[in-house]
Amino acid sequence: MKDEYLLAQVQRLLAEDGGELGIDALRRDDTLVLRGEVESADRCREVERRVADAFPELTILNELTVPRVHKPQESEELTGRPAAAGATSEDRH
Amino acid sequence: MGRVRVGAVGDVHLDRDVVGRFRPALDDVAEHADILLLAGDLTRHGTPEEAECVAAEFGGLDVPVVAVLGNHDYHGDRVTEVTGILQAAGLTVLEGEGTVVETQNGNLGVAGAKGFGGGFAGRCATAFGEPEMKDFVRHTEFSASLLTKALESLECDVRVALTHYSPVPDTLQGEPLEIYPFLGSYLLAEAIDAVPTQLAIHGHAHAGVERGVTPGGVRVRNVAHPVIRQAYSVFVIDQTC
Ligand SMILES: [Fe+2]
Ligand SMILES: [Fe+2]
Repeated sequence: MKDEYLLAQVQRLLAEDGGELGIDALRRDDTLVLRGEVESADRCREVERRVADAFPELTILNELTVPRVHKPQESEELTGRPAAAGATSEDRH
Repeated sequence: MGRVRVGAVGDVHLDRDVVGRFRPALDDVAEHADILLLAGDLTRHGTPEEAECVAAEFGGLDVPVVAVLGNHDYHGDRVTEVTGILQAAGLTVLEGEGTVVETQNGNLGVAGAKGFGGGFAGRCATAFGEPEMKDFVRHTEFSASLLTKALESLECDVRVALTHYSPVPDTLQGEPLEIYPFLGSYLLAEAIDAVPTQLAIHGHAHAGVERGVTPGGVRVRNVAHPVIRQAYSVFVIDQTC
């Protein structure tokens, strides 16, 4: 299969069956690299499994990450108009 | 009139596998913010079961929680049930409406609408040709008109616009140019610029960047969780409408 069709199929499979949009797939020889963000480690494995099931001939390199959920360490001060002063960050807590 | 602290996050895409992940960072939210805004894509597929997860995660916080829905929340075609579940948990869900929250430092008005795509000035879709194309553009026009109406309805010290789709291309940098028309519309910025607004919050652009500004000078912040990489961001607004 042409790479372009393969990548389109991966993208549609993940979005339309799994609700995962915005995952980047790129092919390097027989390896398919998956990159992007998902909201849990479960989803990270699930995405890999879906792709592996659909394309058993490919090796999957799973580079998906799960964004952190820590408390904000700083806030952004919005004063004046953006064209003028601009924004500064400062730690309030 | 003092400083109003606005907490915001979008695109949490909750399902059972995520429940409890955000909560530890939310329990003391009142120490950081006067209100928490949720910028859509609260669920993964827009099912009532996933909405219950959102209710569990963001219900019963010690600040008011105000949300708009995103495209994922529409996927299951059960928007009324999803909205009802969030409301039952105490969340305010806006679609073409405004709400005013009293804080110690003044009244904060939030106008919310999901928004839609269509692209940006000079490169945008137009209501011409096939009915499907006209429907696409008219949905954006309708959503922008809802946002205008909601912004105009607010009587408050500080006015914030809350959408899922982006009003500006600035915050989309990092996304492929080819998909910009699916990520937002300049019509939303035009709506925001028509009414004095201090801040515009959106989500949806997972690969975008945090900061932008409308042509009229209103600050825009993309709070999609993969962009902010923390439980929520805080913006301190120190000016009046
Ligand atoms: Fe999203
Ligand atoms: Fe979205």
